[in-house]
Amino acid sequence: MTPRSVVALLLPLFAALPAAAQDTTWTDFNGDLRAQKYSPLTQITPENVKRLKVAWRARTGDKSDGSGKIPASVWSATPLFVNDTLYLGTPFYRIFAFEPDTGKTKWVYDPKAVLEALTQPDLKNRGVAYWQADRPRAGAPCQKRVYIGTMDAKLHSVDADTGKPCADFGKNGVVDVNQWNTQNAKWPLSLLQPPTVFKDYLFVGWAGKDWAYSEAPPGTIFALDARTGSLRWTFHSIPPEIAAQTGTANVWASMAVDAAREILYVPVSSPSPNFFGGNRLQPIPLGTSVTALEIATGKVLWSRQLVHHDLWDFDTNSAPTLVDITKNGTTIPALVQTSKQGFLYVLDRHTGEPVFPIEERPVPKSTVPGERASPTQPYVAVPKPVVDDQWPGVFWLAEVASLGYCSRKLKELDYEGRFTPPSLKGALSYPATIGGVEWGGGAVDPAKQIFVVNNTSAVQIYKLLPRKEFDAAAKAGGMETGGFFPMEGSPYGIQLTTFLNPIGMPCWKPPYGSISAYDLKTGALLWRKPFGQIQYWGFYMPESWGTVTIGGPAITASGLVFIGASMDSRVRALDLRTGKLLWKHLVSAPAVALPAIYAYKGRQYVAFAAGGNSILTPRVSDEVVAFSLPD
Amino acid sequence: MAASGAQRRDFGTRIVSGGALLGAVVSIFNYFYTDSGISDTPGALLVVITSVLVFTLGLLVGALRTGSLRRVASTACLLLILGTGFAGYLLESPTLLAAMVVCWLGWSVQLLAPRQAGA
Repeated sequence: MTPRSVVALLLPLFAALPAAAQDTTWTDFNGDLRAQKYSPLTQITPENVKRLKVAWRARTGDKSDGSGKIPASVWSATPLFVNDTLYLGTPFYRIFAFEPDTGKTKWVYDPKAVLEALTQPDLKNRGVAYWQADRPRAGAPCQKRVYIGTMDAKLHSVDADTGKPCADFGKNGVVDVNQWNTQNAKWPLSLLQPPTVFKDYLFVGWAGKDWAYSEAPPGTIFALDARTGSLRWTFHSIPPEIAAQTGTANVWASMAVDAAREILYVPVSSPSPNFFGGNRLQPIPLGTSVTALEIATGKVLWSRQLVHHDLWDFDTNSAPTLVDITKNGTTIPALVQTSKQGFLYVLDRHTGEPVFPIEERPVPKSTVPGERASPTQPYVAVPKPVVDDQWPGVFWLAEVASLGYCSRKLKELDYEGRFTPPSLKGALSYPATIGGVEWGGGAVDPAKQIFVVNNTSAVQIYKLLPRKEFDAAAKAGGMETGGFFPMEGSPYGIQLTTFLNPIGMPCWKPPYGSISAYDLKTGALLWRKPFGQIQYWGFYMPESWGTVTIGGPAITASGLVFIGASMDSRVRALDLRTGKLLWKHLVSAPAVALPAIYAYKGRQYVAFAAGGNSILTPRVSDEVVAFSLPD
Repeated sequence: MAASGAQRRDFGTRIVSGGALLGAVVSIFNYFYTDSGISDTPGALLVVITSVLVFTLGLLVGALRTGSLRRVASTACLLLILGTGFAGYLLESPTLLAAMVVCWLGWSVQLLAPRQAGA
């Protein structure tokens, strides 16, 4: 070996040294653009995690329990750590910049947003996005920017150092995305999920009003210039010839980017109306799909439909996790797409072809006049789905407590297993629209190739009501809170209820939520544990029952899984190898957000936004908590 | 000199009331303290009420020397102690649970105290 070659070999090591000593960032909603939710940090370990303490807490003041004029707040924001600052968006659409080691506020940006539930029942926010110029101009403002969207479709851009609006972005720092809402504009394109940022692009999806209309804004993604906010391209998920008669199939969740190939991966939701497809019998191939787009143009490179002719609101609802898998000695550039239907789709991310087989299986027919359910649906056996194929069965305690109500109700319902379509009698749906896996998705340790994901096990009842019957029920007081949703423009409205007994107990067997780990090399399930604790009236139910989970995990290189997500307002650390609970800590509301894991001045922190979500519990908060090891 | 049965009964009922008072204070704190995990919940409010009831019944049992009312009050006191203790367990409030264990010990002391003739 020549001296030159020795130097060449050592150079990368020397180059890596300063990187290791640098602060470790968490720059994106999912930690990074691959949506791995993985931190290379190792200061906090399975051995010392028990010593984890609150390093700092801060409150934003932006919370509402809905009892006053302001709707209830739902705070699902991932804190971002970048530019020596922890950035957070709030449910009132303000941006907070915190010192990462003390929680002291550096600046606050207030967009003076409309605090009305224009599309969602609550004020929701899933955080902010960050961009910085490749070649910053010295002394010029807005070379680093933070973006936040609002319920009424305004995208704000502010200087990351000062919190001042960037005047060159749109009109005085604001782009009105609703200017492109030109078809079936029943509601504004709510920007609840922060944009995905890559190079000088912002990729903007949107959320709408669920289950309200048959004809709705058709799904679009807008690629904007990060500096000016000008539109570079638009992606349409619905064929133009049928866009007028349907809508949505939008991208309301986060996205992932393969930076090397410059591919954007988008989780596309289901078309409207969500529970009746008689108005949209034509193929909508991109509906309920994971789709790969060419970043420069928005052109579809490949797309895989995960549910055909979706009648269950099985929106693809989280960014796919990009990870290279070693299978039979070959490295496969893969992605893992979690889903409400409980399947984990492992695909070659360059081609969209399955890494583990996906087969088309026959599924039940619809009995609803005018409906034509797909005869088959994609089925994934490996990795093992996060929920079983059959519903869990009647829970004896709920049955006894209700004097047999659960069994009696069950006899009234249609149920033929997975993909039983909504019906006029009422169909039992398992898994249901609440999941399976929600928008938090999963996390991966790319070195060990272990994938971790939390899920919900919930049973719901979908009953279609002919329009006259629905209108009568609505007139008689059937409000959305009672589970009635109009799906206006279709011949049916829907009554969507969770299968509870009259005293509010779930009629199905626990656990109601779990967390699982998979070996991606083989698809094998490594472990599965009930996750979280139900808290009702303050009383904690047994740990073996688990809880509905909203939010997701993050993994560290030291072998820890950090996760909030449960209804008991606790954040937890689990052992990646075994799933064993190693540490838990109470926060002021359910931490229904992804945690951020970062290092600053040599110290590792884990930060959670504890904001709550009315699906879990009415408890709300405005607290961000950072944990670290004591000195 | 050994304590008389009446003194032991009084001692027992004072322990019941003392433990219940501690339980009530802890539960009031839990109800209002936002980091208790059970603040502002019906469960926390319920154990405030039951702790106050145990306190009151403890005093009542101490005041009544005999009769069916005493037996009813004593039985109700035990049921409330056990119920509040179980609620404390489900609320994950170890201090409340410990307070109810104290109450139960006090209740046992007053129950096991020797009866005086004619009492």
